[in-house]
Amino acid sequence: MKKFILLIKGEDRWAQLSPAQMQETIQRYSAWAGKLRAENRLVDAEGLSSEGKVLVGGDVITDGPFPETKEMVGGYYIFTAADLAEAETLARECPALAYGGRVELRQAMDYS
Amino acid sequence: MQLGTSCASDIDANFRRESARLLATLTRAFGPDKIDLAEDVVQETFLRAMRQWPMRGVPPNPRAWLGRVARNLAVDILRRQRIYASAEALDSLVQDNPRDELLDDELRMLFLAAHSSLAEESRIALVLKTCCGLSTAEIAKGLLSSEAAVAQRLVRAKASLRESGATFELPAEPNQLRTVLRVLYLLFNEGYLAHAGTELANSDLCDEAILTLSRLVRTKVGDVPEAHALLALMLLHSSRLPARVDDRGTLRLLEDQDRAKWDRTRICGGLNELGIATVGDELTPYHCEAAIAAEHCIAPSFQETNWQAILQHYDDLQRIAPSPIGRLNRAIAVSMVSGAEAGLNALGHDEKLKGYYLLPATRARFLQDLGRTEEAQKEYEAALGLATNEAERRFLQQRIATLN
Repeated sequence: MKKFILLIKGEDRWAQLSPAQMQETIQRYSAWAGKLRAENRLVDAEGLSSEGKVLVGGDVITDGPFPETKEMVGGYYIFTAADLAEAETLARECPALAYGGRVELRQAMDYS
Repeated sequence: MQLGTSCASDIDANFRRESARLLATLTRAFGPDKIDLAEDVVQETFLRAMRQWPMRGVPPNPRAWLGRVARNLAVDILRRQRIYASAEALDSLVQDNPRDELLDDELRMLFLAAHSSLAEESRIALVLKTCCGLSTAEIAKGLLSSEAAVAQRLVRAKASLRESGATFELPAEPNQLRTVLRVLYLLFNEGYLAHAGTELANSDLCDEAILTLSRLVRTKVGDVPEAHALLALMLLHSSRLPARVDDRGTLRLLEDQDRAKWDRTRICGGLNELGIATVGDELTPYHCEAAIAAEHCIAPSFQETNWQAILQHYDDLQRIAPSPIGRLNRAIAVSMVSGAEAGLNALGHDEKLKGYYLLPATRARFLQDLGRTEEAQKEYEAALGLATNEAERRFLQQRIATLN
């Protein structure tokens, strides 16, 4: 099994949702993540606060993470899959895509 | 971190309801002049749930989680903005409140949203926003208005509340309750009639009104005959919603409705509420309207309806609260008891109803029954010009087709 990280982006529309829609969103996410969990694929997952810093060398510190909310990572899931194709199939079902968000799927390097 | 403590995809909390509760208590904490601030806190609370729950799983006690996060956010704001808030109110955010009871804070919010300084349509929008947990977009959909118009209405309403110095108190006099009941009645009607839309009834709004009122009558303030009568009226009317439009979306008259489609649970609930409402001597318009609806609901068929009793209720209604629409409906009852000619006479010509499609439509029906086809045709056509939604227009076209 290979390890993948799924980065969730573009949740800027979340603030427009009504309480009922928010509940529905969470329910869809939970159902999706619950399946990963049930299949023992889920390694880790966290939602990320919008507070943070972007550091570069020297004394420069920007407030970050990113002012463009479209590029902001709202959370991540780390899960296992046989290969990129299977991981993509799983990622396709991610509810972020149904709410105008985007996901970035990356495979963890493993050259051993 | 622990994954999978709760894999449930069902959340043991109702976000709409919880948002109304949090908002009510936060409004008490910050003061009714700072509803906007309270709304921001509620919004941020739910956004945090959206960020965390999908990843870590839904917490074992979602309602407690929301209360805790809202309280912490509110405390942060107080520190940053140096404003005053009631510490007792903030603490009550983390109390484990009973799930179904309308909290005192929610009651206060209901009375604030129905405040006398506000225009009627502002009250409806504000009740939906603050007491029912609907978004501006959802309210706009329900009221067949634009999102921008609703947003503006809400902004103005909140400004009026600030200017009028409205307080966040439980009502001291019966008139305040009457205003709340009136708002819920209009809200229900808004859903029931859903003018100008393609769908005849927006049952969501009806359900909101019923849900809010059924909680209200269980409180000390709301447990009065008039409120029970209104709840009876709503339950009885809404029981017929499933049969009011046929599969093709055409309005079906009472006489053509499939009574098997009526919601028996609501009818029983309505009759029960009507029983509670009639313990005293008090007779309000809601009592009369509920009694009329009850007669229809218990009649096994249109032919076997007790029109004599219905006419009596309409007479009562016209006596205590005369209105042009009451007169129109009474005329229909008259025609059922004494024939179309009598109905036509009872209808009269009311200037106030000019522009209301049901007046010519009813007149047309009476004329049709009397065999005065040409006059009936003219009246139906007049009604067609006044109809405001598709279902009404289709219905009238069908009626015209029966003339020939």
